[in-house]
Amino acid sequence: MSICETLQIHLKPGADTTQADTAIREHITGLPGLQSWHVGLNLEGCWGAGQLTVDLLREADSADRPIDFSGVPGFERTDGVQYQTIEQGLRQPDIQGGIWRTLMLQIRDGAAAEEVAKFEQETLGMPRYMRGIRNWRLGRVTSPGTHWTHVWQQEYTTINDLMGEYLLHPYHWGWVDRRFDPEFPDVWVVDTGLCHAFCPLESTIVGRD
Amino acid sequence: MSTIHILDEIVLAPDAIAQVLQLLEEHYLPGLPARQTLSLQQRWVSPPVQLENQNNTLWLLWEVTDAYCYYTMRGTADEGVMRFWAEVDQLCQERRRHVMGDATQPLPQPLEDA
Repeated sequence: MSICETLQIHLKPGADTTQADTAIREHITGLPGLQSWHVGLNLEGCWGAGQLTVDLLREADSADRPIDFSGVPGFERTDGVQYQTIEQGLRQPDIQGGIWRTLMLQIRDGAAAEEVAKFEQETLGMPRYMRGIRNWRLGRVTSPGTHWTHVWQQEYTTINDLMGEYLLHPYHWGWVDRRFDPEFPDVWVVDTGLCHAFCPLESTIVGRD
Repeated sequence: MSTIHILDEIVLAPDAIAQVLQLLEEHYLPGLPARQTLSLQQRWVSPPVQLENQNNTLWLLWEVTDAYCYYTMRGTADEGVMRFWAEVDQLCQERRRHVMGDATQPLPQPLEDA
């Protein structure tokens, strides 16, 4: 059994992100219990995110031991989760050189289970309306010690598919977004604090895992 | 992209209508300039009469120019906005919000090969 993990690497102000990127790759290459990994420098426009997104596929018997990134130049902290996939989809498993988007979110305390289930299904419905979502995965967080409850990840061919079609589609602003909006009294289930990160994608992560 | 309308449906006792409208004037509307194109288009009540032992529904119709402005509206909802709704919730029986598009335009459909 394998465990999916995603991490936001936060660097100290002024840290050299390229140097950190190189150091992270060197550090995790060949780590025992690591089946695959992906590292990306976050692009401008992220919020609640670090400077790099790291995705790991770990062997279950060693996955409870956190990877130590403290030797990375400029390292400040990690914000990461392990998660279990609820559902995923692949339209383009051979995608190369695209965009990897990670949304970590927290279901509000006291949110009704029925509404949370609807949120999950509505989120998973997005690719049925948006061709630009090439591959996707929604996961429930399984690791302790984090406030995040869900991870919603997508792979795009270009940044325009994320910033254009995804954000501007009525299924997004007119439907799923209600779940994130405190002005909707009856359907709001997601806390307003989010981690929205996107970075260059080398090749599929969803299809690999 | 076309104009987006947002409709608040607030079910309340007839004598609470004026209080909600006053809260709206004092606490919500002054913040609109910071929320860019968000504007209040209509304030309606139905039925347009006070009935014995029955609630009315107050309808607030809002407008934003397009999807970009919708997200601006979302991103500029501050604590004052939330305080306003918290006070309204103390005065009303139930409340819902609806996002609406132009009914004359074709509805986006699921992809055929999805």
